[in-house]
Amino acid sequence: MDEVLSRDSAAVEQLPAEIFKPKPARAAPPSTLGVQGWVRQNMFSSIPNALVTVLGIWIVYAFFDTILTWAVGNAVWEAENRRQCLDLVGRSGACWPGVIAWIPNLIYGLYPKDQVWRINLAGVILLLWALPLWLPRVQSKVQIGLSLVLLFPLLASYLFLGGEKGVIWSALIALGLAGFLWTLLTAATETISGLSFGRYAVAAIGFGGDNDPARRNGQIAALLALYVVALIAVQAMSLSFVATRAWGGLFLTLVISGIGIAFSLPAGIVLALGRRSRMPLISMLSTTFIELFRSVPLITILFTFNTMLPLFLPVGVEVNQLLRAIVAVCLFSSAYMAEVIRGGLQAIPRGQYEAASAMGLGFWQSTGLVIMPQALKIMIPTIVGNFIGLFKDTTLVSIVGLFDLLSMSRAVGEDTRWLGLFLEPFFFITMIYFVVCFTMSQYSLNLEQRLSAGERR
Amino acid sequence: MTDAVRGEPPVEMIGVNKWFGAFHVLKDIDLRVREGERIVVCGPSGSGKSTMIRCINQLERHQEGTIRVHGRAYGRDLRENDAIRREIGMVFQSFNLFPHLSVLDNCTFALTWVKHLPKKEAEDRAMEMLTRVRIPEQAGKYPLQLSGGQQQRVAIARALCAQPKIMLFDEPTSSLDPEMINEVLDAMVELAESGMTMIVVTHEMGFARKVADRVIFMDQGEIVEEAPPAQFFDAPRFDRTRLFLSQVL
Amino acid sequence: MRVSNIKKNLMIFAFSACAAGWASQASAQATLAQVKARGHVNCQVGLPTPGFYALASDGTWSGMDVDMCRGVAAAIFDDPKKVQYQSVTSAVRFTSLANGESDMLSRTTTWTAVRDTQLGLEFAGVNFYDGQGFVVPKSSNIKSAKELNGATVCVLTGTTTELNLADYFRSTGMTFKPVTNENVNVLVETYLGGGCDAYTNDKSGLAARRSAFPKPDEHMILPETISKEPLGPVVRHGDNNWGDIVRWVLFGMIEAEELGVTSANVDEMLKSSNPNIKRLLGTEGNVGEGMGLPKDFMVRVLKHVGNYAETYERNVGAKTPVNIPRDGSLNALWNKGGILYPMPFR
Repeated sequence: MDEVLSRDSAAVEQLPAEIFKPKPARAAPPSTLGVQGWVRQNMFSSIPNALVTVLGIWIVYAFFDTILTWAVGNAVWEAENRRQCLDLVGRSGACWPGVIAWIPNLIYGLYPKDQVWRINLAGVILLLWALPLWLPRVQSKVQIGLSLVLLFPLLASYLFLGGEKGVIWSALIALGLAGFLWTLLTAATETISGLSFGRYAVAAIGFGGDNDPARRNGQIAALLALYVVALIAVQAMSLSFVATRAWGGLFLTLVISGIGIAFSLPAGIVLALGRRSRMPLISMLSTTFIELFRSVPLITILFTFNTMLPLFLPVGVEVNQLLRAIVAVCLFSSAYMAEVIRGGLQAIPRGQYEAASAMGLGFWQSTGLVIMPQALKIMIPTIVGNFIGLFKDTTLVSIVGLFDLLSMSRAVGEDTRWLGLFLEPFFFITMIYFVVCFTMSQYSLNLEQRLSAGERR
Repeated sequence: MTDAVRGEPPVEMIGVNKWFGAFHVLKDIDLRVREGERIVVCGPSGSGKSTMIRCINQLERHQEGTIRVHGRAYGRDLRENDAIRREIGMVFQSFNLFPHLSVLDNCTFALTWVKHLPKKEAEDRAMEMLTRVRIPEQAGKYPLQLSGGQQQRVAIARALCAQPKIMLFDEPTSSLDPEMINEVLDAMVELAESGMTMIVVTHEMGFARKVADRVIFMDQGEIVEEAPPAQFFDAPRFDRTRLFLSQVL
Repeated sequence: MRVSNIKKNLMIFAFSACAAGWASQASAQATLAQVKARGHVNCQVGLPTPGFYALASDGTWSGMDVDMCRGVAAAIFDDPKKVQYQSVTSAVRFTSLANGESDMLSRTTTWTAVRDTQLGLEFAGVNFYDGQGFVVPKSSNIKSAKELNGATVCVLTGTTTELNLADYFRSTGMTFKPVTNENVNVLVETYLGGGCDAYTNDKSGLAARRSAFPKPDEHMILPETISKEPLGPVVRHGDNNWGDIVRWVLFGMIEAEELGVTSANVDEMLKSSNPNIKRLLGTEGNVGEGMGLPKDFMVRVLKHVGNYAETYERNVGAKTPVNIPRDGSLNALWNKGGILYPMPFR
């Protein structure tokens, strides 16, 4: 082609260039767009497909019809005991009064009814603590998030457990409370002025003027003052002791899975980095830990911790049963999380490490600032999937005698008033599990979308 | 951690040998770079040219020989090595921008985390560099939203933000569509004319002819020939050089 | 020389016997001492079961087996509430006792040779004589277990119930098809839905379940009892004193019924001149002190928990949904046609 042009270029004269007019874009035909188009294309594109669609619709309808008839249509909503329900509708309708009577137990376990407000209070604190993470004007989101994960458990465990507090324990609880107060104050001050609490307090008082070191001292003083206030408040609080044996139901499930989730992510990161380390001892220890806890079912680990541990301890020393179960769950889930994160780390191209290295960043800096954010972002679906699985796996603790949500639901049917009630509590807790797990997965999708904002061209 | 001694050559490689396992990839490399010199390294693939310049900032570690940057030799002290590295900027073939940070944040990254500059100052300098490579308006975008040429220019700006004394380029235009090569080369030319000491691995011979003070040809791990561009392109000494030039030009 | 050698050997022997006796006394006191130090009894029960260890919605436990633990706590602490109930699945019941987590099991455990000899456990008595039976719908017109040839039978997995069922059909030369599950409620639903011809369990369990059927009168518990299920409290091997305490609290409750002492009339009975009552309540003799309990430990038990008849009526009697008839059953007193025979309190 080029040859032809070059041969003839001497002979052909160059005409003035024509103006190229591009065609305007036309709208797509309506039958391929919108709902109509989607339905036509996906459901009724051919006779066999249409038949399958009709069959599918019928199956879905029949399924929901049966369930809703039992659960809502024929259901009994008020009765004194199961005998009354049975006399009214037999077994064709659900007997909800039994579940309703047991809802406090399903949610709070055997926690003393007059102390349940402590659990509710902890829930409110959790929500308020997490709220600033969604406010746009708040800048210290990382610090708030860290304080939530590290300090909330200190405050919450006192609220749940109560009892005497020694000096060290009081100091830790006060740390938790101080973290909460700091979060609220910082959220407020950053919304108003963009400064975190310490800086705001110093600026408001005018302490130190422009002198940076003096200002920093002022900020530290403000934080210390906050801690002292928290300490005084904690000393004034006095809560009765509630043994962990009384914890149960949804509350217990949330405690175990909450601690498991909060522990497994950082522990998994450490283990994954350890496994990839070039120092042989660290790498070997990490690998052994991961492979050991991944090769054994969770229930075996629970059994071992629960049954064997007391044998090795001297007579009279008792390790709290809930603590044993929590430790087992934490170790198990961090081993799984470690592999998930290692997969994410491996997906990051070497060039990223090299770019960070070339700038002179050390290992921890480049891992924390460049590699981890990218790896975690890729791994969000799997990490949240692990969390959801962990939440559901907590049902295994019923084997070692803890009254989680599932075993509490079985206890409903053994109450002499509601003897034999079995499907209704099960249905109820299925709904609870579904709501919690679905919320987690939707949040994960939302998180993915927000974080991939930079990837859309 | 003494400051670099003026008068010492920016880069000095003496008797450098490197093996990848059993494979001898760099053989007795001797190289001395002068202050403000622009060096272009070329050669067939597998010749070790990338490996050589990656040894200069220790992305690859050499097993034998000495490498000195402004008089400071690389050794076992990791912190000293990191400190030396901070004097060197590098631009990669695959750009290696941080996709989770905006363009501006990519540039201020080293300033914030390595030099610990306050935010305003870091951003000012970043904008200055982005203006220098002619894409200040892209500061708020994310790397994956830019074209290849724009990304590479951001990479150059990012490297320049840290005010390096030496710039290394590892085939900066090899991943780019032809239309974009020129914009990147223009940025590199401007950089060269400002007096930066540069070592560039590239196949762009036009660039070499225009900008280089010295062209180095490598083959099978050795430096075969080095000469000023006029002599290199018009009167190469060795047969391998002539063969290579006949294939490339 | 020889004489003094013999003397020396005798002295050594006597000394070591004392030491051994003292050591065993010390470890034998171990459980009681631990319980006292801790302030409550760790009583292991199973997953809630009506009549024996039932959980009410306000968190309180009640039942025959719960009363057993309450009795022990009352004997030691004069407070039946000083018990912590550990509800564990049958999978870990024996290990939790062996490793020290529970002080006693009170969860309808059948006394068998293997359990008594090979698991490091000790049965402290029988508080309920049960036996396995069948329930069938009346519409099936089956009147006796011998008519069950070829039937499908719903049974709980992993229990002696399953084994007894197989043995029964083998010994009578009949065949059957088992339908198993580990959840009682699932089995009952299967039976009610017609998924099996009969449901088998201990008769006490059958009685409880039947009371919760939609139409209890349409089902019949067959007369045959195909196994012996003596149910009673269990303690660890190696602490005879603790086992004694549990055993004699139980015997004391049965003896109290025989002697007519109830929780209502205990205070009056303290003034009784009947030597048997005096020894039971501790006004005479020192049965309690031999075990490390106060003399009037049975007064405490009877005041707080009552005698055997009272706990029976309260938990599984005619006015409860469980409603296991006592007259003429094995659980009546020995002088009323049953086999409850308390050993003498002297």
